[in-house]
Amino acid sequence: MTVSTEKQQWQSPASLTIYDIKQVDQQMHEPLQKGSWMFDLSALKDLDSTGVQWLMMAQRRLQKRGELLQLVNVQDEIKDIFAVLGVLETLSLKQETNEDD
Amino acid sequence: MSKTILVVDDSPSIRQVVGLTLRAAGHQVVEAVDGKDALTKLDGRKIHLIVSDVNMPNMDGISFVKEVKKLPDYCYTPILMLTTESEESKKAAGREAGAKAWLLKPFKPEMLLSAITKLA
Amino acid sequence: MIDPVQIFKEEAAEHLHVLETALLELEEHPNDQAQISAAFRAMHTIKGAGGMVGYDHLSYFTHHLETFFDRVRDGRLALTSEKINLVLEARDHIATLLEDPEPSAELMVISETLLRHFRQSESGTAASSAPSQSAPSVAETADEQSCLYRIQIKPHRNAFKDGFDTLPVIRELRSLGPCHVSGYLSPDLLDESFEADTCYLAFTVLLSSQCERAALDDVFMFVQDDWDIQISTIGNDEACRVGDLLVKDGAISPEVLESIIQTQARTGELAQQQGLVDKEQVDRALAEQNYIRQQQKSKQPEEQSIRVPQRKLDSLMDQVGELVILQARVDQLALDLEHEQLASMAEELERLVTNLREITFDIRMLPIGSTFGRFRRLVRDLAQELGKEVELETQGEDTELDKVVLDKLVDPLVHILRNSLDHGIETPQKRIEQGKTGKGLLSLKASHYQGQILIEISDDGAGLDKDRIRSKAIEKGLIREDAQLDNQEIYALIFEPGFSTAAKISDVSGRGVGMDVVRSSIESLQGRVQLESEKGKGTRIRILLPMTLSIIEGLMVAVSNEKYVLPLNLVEECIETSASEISTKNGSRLIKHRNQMVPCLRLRECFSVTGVQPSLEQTVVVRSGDTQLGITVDEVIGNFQTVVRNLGRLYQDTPGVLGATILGDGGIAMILDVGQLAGANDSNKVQTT
Repeated sequence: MTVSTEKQQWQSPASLTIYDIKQVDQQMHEPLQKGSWMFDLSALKDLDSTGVQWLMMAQRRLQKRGELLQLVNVQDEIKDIFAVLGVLETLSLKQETNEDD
Repeated sequence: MSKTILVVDDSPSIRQVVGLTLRAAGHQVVEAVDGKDALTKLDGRKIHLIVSDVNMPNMDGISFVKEVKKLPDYCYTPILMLTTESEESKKAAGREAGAKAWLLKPFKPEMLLSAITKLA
Repeated sequence: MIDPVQIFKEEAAEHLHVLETALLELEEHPNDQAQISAAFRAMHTIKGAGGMVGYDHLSYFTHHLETFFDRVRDGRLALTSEKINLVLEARDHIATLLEDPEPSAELMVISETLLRHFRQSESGTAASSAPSQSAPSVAETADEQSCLYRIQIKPHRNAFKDGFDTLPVIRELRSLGPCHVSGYLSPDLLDESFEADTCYLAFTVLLSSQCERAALDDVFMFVQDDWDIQISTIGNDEACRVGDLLVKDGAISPEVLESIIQTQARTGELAQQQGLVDKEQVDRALAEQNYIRQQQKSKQPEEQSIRVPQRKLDSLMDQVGELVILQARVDQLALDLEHEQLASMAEELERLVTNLREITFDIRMLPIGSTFGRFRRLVRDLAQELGKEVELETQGEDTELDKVVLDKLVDPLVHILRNSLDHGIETPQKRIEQGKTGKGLLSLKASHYQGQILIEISDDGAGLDKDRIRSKAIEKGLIREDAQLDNQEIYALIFEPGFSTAAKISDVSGRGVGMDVVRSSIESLQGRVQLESEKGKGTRIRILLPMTLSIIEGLMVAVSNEKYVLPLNLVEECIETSASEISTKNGSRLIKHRNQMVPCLRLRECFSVTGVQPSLEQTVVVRSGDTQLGITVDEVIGNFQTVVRNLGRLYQDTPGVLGATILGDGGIAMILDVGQLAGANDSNKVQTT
């Protein structure tokens, strides 16, 4: 996990589903209290509603503090899920490759 | 989208009909003859949905659901129970155990597929 | 110096006028080259000049319009009336765009929608001129009737734990037709209480689909018991302002909306400025609104309905009625002959007739919402005239009523509303003095109630003064001075002919018609009206109406050789009773029904039927509004679907009779008016006349 001064980064696991979301939420609860974040979803393969909900919650928490959550490297299948659930507009996605990291 | 579905029924003919229907719709099917057998199939492989009979020898559908709910890797798997009119009374017990979706036998293939699209 | 923007606006207005005139000419003569050129020039000038003075978006929009018209000028595109309509719509849109060089996002979306329609209309022509190309799917779907649904989905908090994901359900909804989905986190979720496996997601889905309502319900088959799912249809005439959506989402209250609208600003932006709603909610509402607008635009051609004279509908209904009767006779014949083949044909016929009946019935059904809509303006204007502040709240707009009933309902409702505004709701000053809010609340609700339609009109105004009604009624000779009346009976007095409580005759309600006219109109619709009131607190009027006037599902009963029909929706239970009890004509006989004593009347006595009273009788317990009544008959025959016919003069004044019907064997059965029977039974005890 790279922590830059400006935006902290988090690498999503392959799965954000009900089976692992509680653990992810616990792990990230502390770190998300500070600064803006960039979630790299390049590895994400399995996403269900709990995962989507968690991402929205993370964004809401950050926004309350006036910070930003940006989702990068969102795969098409994942984007499709966002679109189906009608949250594509709410979440801020950025399509960029992380080659310079 | 192709799903892996575990079909649990002691009647070979029902297993065949359900299996055929699901495979024809492009799903992978894992078959089990009763609850006990079905638990052995929950061995770490990815299962998207369980379709289970209620009345079976060795371990009936309700007990099977209770067992599934104890497995950390499968406890949230959606379960579709196949039931007959006479088993309506068991529905309450089944719901209590965690089986929220029920399909009445006999059903047409498209009813089964429609039920499945609602769950997985 | 004169502002160049101002000059442009004036110039553009002129050009728009030219454009409109040209288009209307072209509607008559689509090939008039001179008019085509005039229209083209008008657009061209608006585009050019607009760009000069900073109307970038308008210029952009007009550019595409011009390109479209260029093709018309070249003869590559033929002008159809549909295309002319589109251009006219675009013309109106330009007029709107002229108001502000920097249009709102909402207007820009409309621009895009219109431009897309232009593209579609162009490709449509291309397809028809070149038959090898397949027609665009847009055109295909546009032919079918589709309905716009708003579906609110709030999954149960335990949905995820129960093994339900929201994805399959939403996916299935999407498969039913074009959809706009907004997913959001429940606004009342607190950060601290968030549990990752608990469901806080909720969805608003706008779906345009040809599917029946049942197909939608089917999607929620497994979750309907646990999830909160609300499905409503969005009418074409529904005002789909952003504000409404925000109110519906519970983001702001109706009062706040009202105040915002009055400042005439764009609701969404202003609400946001005032910090009343967060941006996310506004965006969501805007997206929904655009979707609705877009869908409704695209629906306009297909939603074309035909106007049919009432007379034709009525005669269709009559014919269906005859068919129902004939079908009953065929049924009877099949039964008498014990002819198997005939019986199965009769069964098939019954199915067809039932379907036909339902369709015919449905044609006549209209949602009450459009009627409610008309009252909004009325209430606003009246309140202003009277110097009162009133908010009109409506509920149950989707409730459907027979068109005939609906039409006849308007006048009595207007009268009641006028009365409420005039005599019920106080002036703001008086209200505040009494510790109420300055703004009065007038509420109009429609709902289904025990197989009937219930319409409630209530206000939080002054209420009725019982003592005054009483003394007035005595003064007018309506009741005797020593009459013992309960509240209901006192309130009922205001519906008596010649009764008017208004101390001074005002413009609004003092038109020489009293509430008696309301009652008689409602009664002519076989409905009933009730009034409840509390002094200082308000008044509530309840109107109960049958859904239709023409066909009823009935329960047939017999007394000696006479047959009677009771509306089935009012029947609660049939019980066997012994005739040995003493019965008086005043209906003081009581029977026990579900641990309650229910007053009974014997039909034999009501209609003085001759013959021998059997020792064991049947009593049908019926409910009329809030009262229960037992109707004792000789025999219960069974369910019977029947057409109500107006009675001849002979029976017209018979109380307790709604109409008559012709039976399968050619005999006649009377249809009973349970409400009247119950009323007669009630008032027998107290009536002074």
